[in-house]
Parts: sequence; C-alpha cells; structure tokens
Amino acid sequence: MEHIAHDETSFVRPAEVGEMELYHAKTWLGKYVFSQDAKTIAIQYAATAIAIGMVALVLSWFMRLQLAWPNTFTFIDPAYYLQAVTMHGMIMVVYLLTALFLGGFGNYLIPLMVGARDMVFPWLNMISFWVYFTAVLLLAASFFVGGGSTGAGWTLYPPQAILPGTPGSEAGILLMLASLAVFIIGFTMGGLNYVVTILQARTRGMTLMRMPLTVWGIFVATVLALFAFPALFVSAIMMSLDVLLGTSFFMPAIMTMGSEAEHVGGNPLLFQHLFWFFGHPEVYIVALPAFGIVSDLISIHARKNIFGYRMMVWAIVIIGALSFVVWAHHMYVSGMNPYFGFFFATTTLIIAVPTALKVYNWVLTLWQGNIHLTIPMLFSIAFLLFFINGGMTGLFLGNATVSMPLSDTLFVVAHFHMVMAVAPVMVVCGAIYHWYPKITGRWYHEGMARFHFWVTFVGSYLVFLPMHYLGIMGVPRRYFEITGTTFLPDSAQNVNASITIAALVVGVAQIVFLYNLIVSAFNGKKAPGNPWNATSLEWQTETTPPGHGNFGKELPCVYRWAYDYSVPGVEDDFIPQNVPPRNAQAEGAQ
Amino acid sequence: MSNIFTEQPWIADTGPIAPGLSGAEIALNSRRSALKVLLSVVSIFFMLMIVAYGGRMLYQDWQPTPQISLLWANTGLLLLSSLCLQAALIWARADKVPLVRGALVGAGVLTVLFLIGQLVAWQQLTSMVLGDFSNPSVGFFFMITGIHGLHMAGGMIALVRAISRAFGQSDVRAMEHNVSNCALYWHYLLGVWLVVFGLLFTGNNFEILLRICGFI
Repeated sequence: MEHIAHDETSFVRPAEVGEMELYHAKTWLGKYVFSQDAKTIAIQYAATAIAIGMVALVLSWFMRLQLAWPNTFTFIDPAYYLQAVTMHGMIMVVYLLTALFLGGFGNYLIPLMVGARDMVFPWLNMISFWVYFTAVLLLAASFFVGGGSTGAGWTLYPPQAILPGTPGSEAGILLMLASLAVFIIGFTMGGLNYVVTILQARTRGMTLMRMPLTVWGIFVATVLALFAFPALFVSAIMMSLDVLLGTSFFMPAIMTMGSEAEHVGGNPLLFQHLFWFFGHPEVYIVALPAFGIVSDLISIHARKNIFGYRMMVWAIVIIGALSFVVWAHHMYVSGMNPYFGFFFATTTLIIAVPTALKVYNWVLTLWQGNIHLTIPMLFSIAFLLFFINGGMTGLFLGNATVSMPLSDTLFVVAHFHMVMAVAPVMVVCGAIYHWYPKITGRWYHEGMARFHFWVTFVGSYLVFLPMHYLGIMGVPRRYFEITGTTFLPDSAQNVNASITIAALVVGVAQIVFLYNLIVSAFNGKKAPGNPWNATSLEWQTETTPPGHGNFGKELPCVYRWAYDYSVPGVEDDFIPQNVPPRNAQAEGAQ
Repeated sequence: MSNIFTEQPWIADTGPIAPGLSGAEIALNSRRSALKVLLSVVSIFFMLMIVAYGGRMLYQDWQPTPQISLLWANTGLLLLSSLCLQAALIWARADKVPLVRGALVGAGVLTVLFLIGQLVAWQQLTSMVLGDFSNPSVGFFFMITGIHGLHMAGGMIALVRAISRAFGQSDVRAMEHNVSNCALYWHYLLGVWLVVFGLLFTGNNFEILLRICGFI
C-alpha cells in the first residue's frame, strides 16, 4: 500500500456542527439501573439474557436426563418434558441469542466501532432494555402459573397450542404470547436506535464500507429483525384473540375433549406461514452478527486483513434479503403445492451460495496468516467447524424430497443446533473473551478459559454429531420416550445416554465460564487498552473501560478500514483506523 | 466521489475527510430517520394482516362483515385531521405561529373524535353479530381497526408534545420539525386507513384484494 505524505491537518476538516449532547446521570439509580449509557445497557442486556439462558440450559438437562434414563426422574412427566422442550427452544432463540447479539453486542459495539458518543436515542435505549426485562419476567412467570408454561413446542402451532390437553394451554400460552409481543415492542425501540446510529452517527471518515464487519452483521440483522418480528407480533395477537375472544383466525371447527369447540373456519396453516416468515429470518438474525464478529476475530487474531471485505459485506446483505423468501422450507410436510416446494427448495439452495462464499473467505483469511491460537481464535475456528457441519446438513433438509423422511427427527435437531445454536454460541464465547479486557479493563483466567473452550468444543460435538445418526435411524424429536420401539436397536439408547453425559459436562463448563467472567472482573490482571493490537476504534479509547461518551474530548477521525494488519513497509503489524496516512508511513520500517 | 458500490476500502485516505454529521443537527435528522424506519416496520405489519385477510377470503365459507356506515364519517374526520397537520406545516414554514397552534389543536381534536367514532363502530358491529366473534372477518375487523387505533393513540402522545411545545417555545424551526414529523405520521396512517377501509370494509372489493395479494 502506498501512502502519500500529507500534513495531518489537511485531512481533517473541522466538524460543521456541534456534538450530541450526552445525558449525565446524577444518581446511582440513573447511572447503573436506569442508565442511558449504551455500554451499561449492553451489560444489562447481556446479564439478563445469560441468566434466562442458564434456565434454558437447565431445562435441556432435564430433557436429556429423561431421554437417557427414561422414567428414572419422577419429576419429569410427559407434560413437564414438553414444557421443557418448548421453553428451552424459545428462550435460547429469542431471549438469549437475539437479545445478546443485538441488545448486548449491538449496544456495546455499535457506538464504539462507528466512533459515536452513544446511541442517538439514549432514553429510548434505556426503555428498550426495561421492556425486554419485562418480557423476560412475563416469560419466567409462566413457569409458576396454574397449568405451567406452554408445552406446544417452540413453534407454538395452533390448534394444539391452545386446546385443552396441551400443557400450559390456559395461562401458559397467553403469557408466552404476551411476552413475545412485549419483547418485540422493546426490540423495535432498540432496533430503531441501532439502525439510525449506524446510518447517521458515524464519525468523520467512517464510510459505510469502512465499518468493521461486526457492525455490518449487527446492522443487517437488525433490519431483518425489524421486518420479520411484525409477523410474530401479528400471529401472537391473533392467537391471543382466538383464546380470549373466541375469534377464529387460526382455529378451525374442531372437536375437543368430546365436544365441539366454539371456533369455526380458522386456518392453522396461516399461523405457520406467519410464524416462519419470522422464524427463518430469525435464524439469520442470530447468524449474521455471528458472521460479522467472527470475521473480525479471525482477521485480528490471524494478523491479516479479511479476505474479500466487499464480498463479505454484500454476502451479508444478500443473505439477509434472501432469508425472507425461504420460509416455507420449514413446512414441506405441512402440505403445499409442489411448485411452491420447488420454489422454496431452490431459494434455500441459492442462499447457500453467499454463505459458502463467507466460509471460503474465512478460511482464506486464515490461509498463511500469522495465526495466534488465543481463546477468541480457538472459538472462531470452532465456529467454522460447527457451521460447516450444520451448513452441509442444511443442504439435505433444504431439498423437499430429502427433507420429508428426515422431518421431525433428531436429524433436524442436530442440524439446527450445529448451525444456529452451537455455532453462534462459539462466536458469543469468542467475542466475550475478545472484548472482555476492554469491557472490564482486566484479563480473565487463561487456564479456566482454555478448559471452557475444549470442554465446550469437544462436548458439543459429542452431543450433536451422534444425534444425526439417531435422526437417520428415525428417532423422532419431541418424544417423551422412545424405548420399546421395534425399529430402533438397543444401541440407540446407549447413544442417547452418552449424549446426555456430554450435555451435562458441557453445561458444567458454562458454569466455569461464568465463574471466570465474574471473578476476573474483580480480581483479574489489569489489561492494557489495546491488548490484541487491533485497529478498530473501540480499542483506541482514552480509557479502558471506555468512559461515558466513549472517546476523549475529540471524536476520532477515520482514515482507513479496520483491516490494516501486516501492511507491507509498516513496522507495526497493525494500523489503527484513526492513524493518518502520514503517521502510518512515519511508523513504517526505518 | 466513491459510494458503497465503488469504494475501495483498503485504500486509505489521501485527501480531506468528508465532513460527517454530528451533534444537534443530527438529532433532528435522526428523529426523521427513525420515524421513516418505524413507518417501514408498521407497513410490514399492516401488509401481513392484509395478506392474511386476503388468504382467508379464498375459503368458500367466507362471510364479509356487515357494513357500518359510520366508518365513512370516521374516515372524513381522519382526513380532516391530516389536512390540519399539513396546514400547520405550511404555516410553520411561513412563520405564522398562531395559525400553527390552532391547526395543531384542531388536528388533535379531530383525531380524538376519530378514535371515539371507531369505538362506536366497534359497539355497532358487536350488536350486529350478537357478540359472536367466530366469523373470521369480524375478528379481522376488530384486530385491524384496533391496531390502527392504537397507532393513532400513540401518535397522539407526539402530537400533544408538539402542541405543548408550540405554545411554549418561540423557535419556529424546531416547531416546524415537530410538526413535520407529526404530519408525516398522520398522512401515513391516513393512507393505511384508506387502504384498509377501501379494501377490507367497504364490500365488493374481493377481486382487487385478491389480485394485490397475488391469489388470482
């Protein structure tokens, strides 16, 4: 790269308008509880999401205990099992991963990475968190109401979701629907903030194409969420009205418990279309931030610029757009016109193209890089291994004819856990370890982190790889008990038991992870401001952790992209985004 | 001048940095941008409900809702409130502050009358169907009008703030921004209402709706 020497001042025009006015809290409550600082809000989002996520983790243990040793644990009856399945799925997808990626990482990283003082609407941002918190409380309340939480499966399909006989068909399902509606309202407030901040509050020089891929991933995922969540909102309202007012949006004329229900003429398939119009983009709402973050982690820890930056950006955008036209591949067995099936199978396969491009680019970034096997890099590589595996099985399930015999088997469970559960969780862990020194100003315990990585990585593979084989053998998902079936050999039960043992061990490793994070925040070794020698703006703050307003007196000016690693002719192997060309040259080989 | 399609981000700056927006100016633009994003989200929301309605119409047992003539009067009220806000915007641009205040109050009163009218329409429909909501078209009527009404009620919060600021401040440009945002929101919701009312609740529009939804 050739740098042309200029006087620094010739690059920086004075800002034409004043800076945004920051709200300065005067009370402890205002500073730490009802904070309007995006960084504090990010931590609140993350803590709440992880807390409810741990509940979902424990629910998965209960499911696994029943499957491995049927009827040994008397508190797990069929109804309880279905409730655990349902709540585990919904919590993990919506209340943990969506909230953590967008509310947690989005809030912390967007303003810092684009060079803004804060989100453009700090008050709305604060309200957004508390609305999310209310949604979590409503969801948690459903564990304690009469009949318990809903056991309809995370897809909440009517008519069974609201008919007597399904666990939680009284208050449980209503609380779930109310919680989802509240969540969406809260998310919309946050989402507006993320989008407008990225579009309008970037610092001077930070063009859209200079933004780190983390910001691109979060940005496109937020747009997806803003456009996809209304479908869930509409279906939640319609189903609530079916329960409360006796309307018949989704409920057909039906006999229940020997008598005729009051409903006539509703269409259950309409719910499925609405649900999956939200549900499939939801996969990418979780995946795109992970794609963005892992791109940055790989680049930083391999000391190499990301391969094909522009291709990576457009792949994110194209994947986001295509994600709205693939939803019915979740409904092949629901009954549809074969031409529709063909259309949705085709779009599903087309979406694999930009996704595969991203995978190639990650691998090519690693190729001949100066790879540092730090904890974030280990998790990034683990992400690749899970994502490629899950992506490949997606090719099977995307094809209508191959998908049908595999529908509702553990193969599907294994596929989506590989691709949109474990893979993004690998990125979450890698990202937490990566930005932990910036967030807390301290180092985590390296040994515990490595223990956490290896147990989670190997353990998760031991959980989900064998599950594919169980699925191919025909083991159905959501079944309380599969013993005594003639088509399954006894060895299937042994596999189930081994999966459960692995799942329990992986769960324990997460407790070590949380212990490390909490204890190190107080007792960890002091970390420098830019321990990874990274280029993006969040590492260039005056103080670590960054103070209110993020940057010092002056906002940084950006002169380059975020991937100037190992630039030929420059002594350091990185050039921060806010270093002017002249200075970069001066720092070069002398 | 490079753009998102032509920019080569790996090349560092060699010339002056383009001035970016920041500060007070951006706060005003941000509100406008946020409103536009919000209206896109709301569009998806109503579009999904209309498509769902159209899809349900295809079934042979479909029975449209009984006609409620009051809705025509309510439509007139909403149209007038939207016109009031447009007038307020024009007067704000011409620095005619007293007229702006009057138009804003007028828009608020007309919107409240619209909402009351919608509630009366609900009452009329409930009497017509004798409290039986199992007909899907009746369910759709309550849901769509209810959600539209909630959006209008939400807009009233912003309108009340705009009114109180119009009476309390002398900065006409700031007033113009507030009025402009309210006007955009009202015009938009008027548009939504006209589509919803025209397609769903005036009868005889099955074919148009089915064509729009792509069912025929």
